[in-house]
Amino acid sequence: MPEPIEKVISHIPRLRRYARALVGDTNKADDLVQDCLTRALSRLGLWRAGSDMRAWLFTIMHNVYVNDFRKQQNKPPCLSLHDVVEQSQIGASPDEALKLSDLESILRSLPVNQLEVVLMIGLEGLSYQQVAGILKIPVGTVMSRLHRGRNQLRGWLTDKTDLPSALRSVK
Amino acid sequence: MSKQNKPVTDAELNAYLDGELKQTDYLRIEAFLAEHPEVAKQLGNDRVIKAGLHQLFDKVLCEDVPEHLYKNVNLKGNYTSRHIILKAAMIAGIMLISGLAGWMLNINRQASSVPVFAHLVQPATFAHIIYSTDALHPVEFNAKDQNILTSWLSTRMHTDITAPILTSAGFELIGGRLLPSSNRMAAQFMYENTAMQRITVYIRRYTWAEEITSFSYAEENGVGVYFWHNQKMGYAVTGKINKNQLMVAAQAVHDFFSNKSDRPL
Repeated sequence: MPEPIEKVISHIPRLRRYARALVGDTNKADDLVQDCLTRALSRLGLWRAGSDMRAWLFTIMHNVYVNDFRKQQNKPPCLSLHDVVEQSQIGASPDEALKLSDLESILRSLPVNQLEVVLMIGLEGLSYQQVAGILKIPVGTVMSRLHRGRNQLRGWLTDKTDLPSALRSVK
Repeated sequence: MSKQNKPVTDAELNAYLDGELKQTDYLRIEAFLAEHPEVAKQLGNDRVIKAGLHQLFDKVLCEDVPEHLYKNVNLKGNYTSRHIILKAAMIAGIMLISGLAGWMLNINRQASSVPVFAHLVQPATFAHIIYSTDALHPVEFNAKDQNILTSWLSTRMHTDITAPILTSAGFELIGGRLLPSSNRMAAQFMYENTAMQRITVYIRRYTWAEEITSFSYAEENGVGVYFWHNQKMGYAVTGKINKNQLMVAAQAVHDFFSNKSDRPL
């Protein structure tokens, strides 16, 4: 049985992915992960062995983000030039990087409560029930936020009739 | 109003996409989608968007975790070597990722001697080439005999085998067959889109645990293949089609089998 601290460590890469998607900027996202880990470790005694560690960590990250982190930021999170450059380097072509960055721009325009639900379900693969537990809202609210969020994201593919090639693959 | 005729809601379509429906509702939504291609197309778009999220952010899983994030952990004194922590985190990070997590991890073709290539990728591509081009007998059982096919496969493979539903990725089941594999049996399901392009889904028991493979892409014998395995089964989705189309289909297969274990049958 792994120690709780080992379990926390094992979740760091996923927490970083979620934070990056939530915040946009690489450094700010890692600051959020850092705040989340600090709080999680100070409360590790409160984690019940056998319960869902991932959901517990996401609950902490949500609380840190909504209650503290966003208030510390002077301006709304946005995509930095550094990120745009980094992204274009991984894409097969500048064209594709541009399209993926379009999707990221739409993500940034989503209200936080929709963005969290879209990412927890669409990127992290959490169940509706888990997300409801993390955000402490009814499952029905999860579903309506998901629906509204996805409606906005559909704008990414508007006017792109040839869908499969609209999403040029990485590499 | 009977359940069969109940209109399909947006919430149900989202739940379908996310694998949150009961099995009986899946059939009802599939029937609805078959009659409403515009809705099926929109659902396909939503699937592409989901894949887009992974393309944007899965790279983070492959990055080295900045040292300062481990500082808190080190202060606890549970580890003396940062190296162990880094290694544990990297391995665990890769193992834990579900869905499309290994997106950026294109396995190097040089690794053809490793089990995942010898026992999963190569046999899947060979079987694809042999049967997808067969004009007379591409499958042993047609889709109309799907129940017979899946019960036969399940019996021979000693596990529950179901044909994934790939309508939202634009592919319909043609049928499938049983194949020999290096230890027991493998199942092959074949699909076709409206452009008459064929892809195959290859499923076998997978017992080689020495390497970590989440979701990877390779080109083998001239065809593209997305493959992954868990501790029990290996999966390969193969086709000589646009890589993105194949990816969308592979993601649908992945979601189908990931969600299947969680939902009542």
